[in-house]
Amino acid sequence: MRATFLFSILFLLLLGSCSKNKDGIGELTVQMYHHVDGSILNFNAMNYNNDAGYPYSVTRLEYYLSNFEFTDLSGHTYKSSKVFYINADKDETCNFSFSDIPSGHYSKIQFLVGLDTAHNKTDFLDPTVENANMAWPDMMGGGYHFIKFEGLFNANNANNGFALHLGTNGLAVPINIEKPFTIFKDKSSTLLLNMNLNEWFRSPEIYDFLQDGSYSMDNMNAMMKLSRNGKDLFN
Amino acid sequence: MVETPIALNIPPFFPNMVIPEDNQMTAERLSLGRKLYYDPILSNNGRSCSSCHLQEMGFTSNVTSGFTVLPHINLGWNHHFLWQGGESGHLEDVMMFEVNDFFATDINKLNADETYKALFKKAYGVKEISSKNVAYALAQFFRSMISGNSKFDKYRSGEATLNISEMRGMNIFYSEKGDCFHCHGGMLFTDNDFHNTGLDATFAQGNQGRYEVTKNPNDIGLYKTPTLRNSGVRQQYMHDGRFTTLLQVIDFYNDGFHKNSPNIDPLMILPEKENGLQLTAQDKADLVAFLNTLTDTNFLSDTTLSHP
Repeated sequence: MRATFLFSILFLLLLGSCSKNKDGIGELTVQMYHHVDGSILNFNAMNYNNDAGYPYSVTRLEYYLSNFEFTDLSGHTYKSSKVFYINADKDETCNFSFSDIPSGHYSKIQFLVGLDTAHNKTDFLDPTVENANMAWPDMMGGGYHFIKFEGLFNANNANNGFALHLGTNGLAVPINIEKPFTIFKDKSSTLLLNMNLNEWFRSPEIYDFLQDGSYSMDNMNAMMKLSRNGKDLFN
Repeated sequence: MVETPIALNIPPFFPNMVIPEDNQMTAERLSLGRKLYYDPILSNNGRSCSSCHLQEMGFTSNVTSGFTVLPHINLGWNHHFLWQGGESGHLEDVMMFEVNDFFATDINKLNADETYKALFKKAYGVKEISSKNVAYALAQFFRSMISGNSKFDKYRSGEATLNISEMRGMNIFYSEKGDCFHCHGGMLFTDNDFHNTGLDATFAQGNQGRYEVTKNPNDIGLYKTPTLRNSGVRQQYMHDGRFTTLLQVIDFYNDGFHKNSPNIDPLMILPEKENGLQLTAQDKADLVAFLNTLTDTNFLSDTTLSHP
């Protein structure tokens, strides 16, 4: 049951009704969940196995989501320029809202894990402590970490660290999800997005810590592979 | 009550500082907090904040009581305080701890002092001084203790140049070669988080870092990341002061840490760095040179922060 819950992107109508849709705007709150092939994410636990065969734990998961687009059945698109910072270990950062979405029936969600070129510039985002900690050093290209995914993995009977950091223009991960949902006028609704961390390691190419690199920050091949694998994170 | 609103001088590129609505900065409150910082009236043993926090040393000192003295630098951006994060929240919260628990301030002494009574009435509009009033006034002064005018800051603003060694050190600091920036990044040179960098292989009961506060076994061995600003004028490093020079600290990160320490940070045991950072003597000297560019001599002698 839990797997069903986690695998699905659910649209929950919290305050809305089944009344006929009318023109106007409604609010959508997006709630982020994180799991590994259906097992809810617990930090610091060597509970998970990736497709390269390594048991692993997660000690840090921080990232940005941006460039949200919601497309309705008529092909009209609602776009947002907001950037959202998520720290999976801090519940207060794992939900965010859009307050002005035109009511209607939607069929498609698109967004980036990371930042586009326009946003990925040193000191461009609001000067919060969180954004400061996500900075990507100027001498490595500037801008921000799109994601920090860190933990331990077991290989050769020893625990080793991994630090999968993705940044650099062009490597943000585009996400496209086909999912019908409805926004009702003057109502608030919640959308659940489930990130499966094992997808970072899975497809189209298996990511192997010992082959591809346990840290990625100055390893363009590793970052490109992670970026390509990210497409299925929310499937 | 007299309210003369003031704005803090936030250096370029620094994050926004969040100031609680109920303790907005005024000249009267700030001045009062500064007076309290240097006044042993806070304690019952003749000591003041300034007894252990010397301005010329970046508001730290060599006094130890199990832990080294963390510097009072840029704490307005912190939300965890003390080496184990024993206090969290705003400066007002940690100052309540300082007044009620650390100093056990006898509030009657302040209420018996006509000068303080007048100053608190002016600053906070109170006839009777409370421990909260004292904590709030202290928080105002702490919030003003901003260091952001070092040679590095001037370089970042295009007002100064770094020499070759400092530049090389900066390149090591901000690259995977040294990988200092992941924990000591940003303009605050701390992530305000907790890490076990492998100082010890085991941690004795009662001295297990962040665990002593959270009782979470995953926090055994984790200590707060200190800011590196003004680290060049310190004489003790790490939570227990085991190192006395920056070079010793760099040597530790180069190849001296315990890889099997519980809850060691993943960044310390990356397979590709199995043999340490492999910094040369020149690399280490360059890193020290860069760290010394974080010394803010204006801050160390700023008369608005000194004994009134």
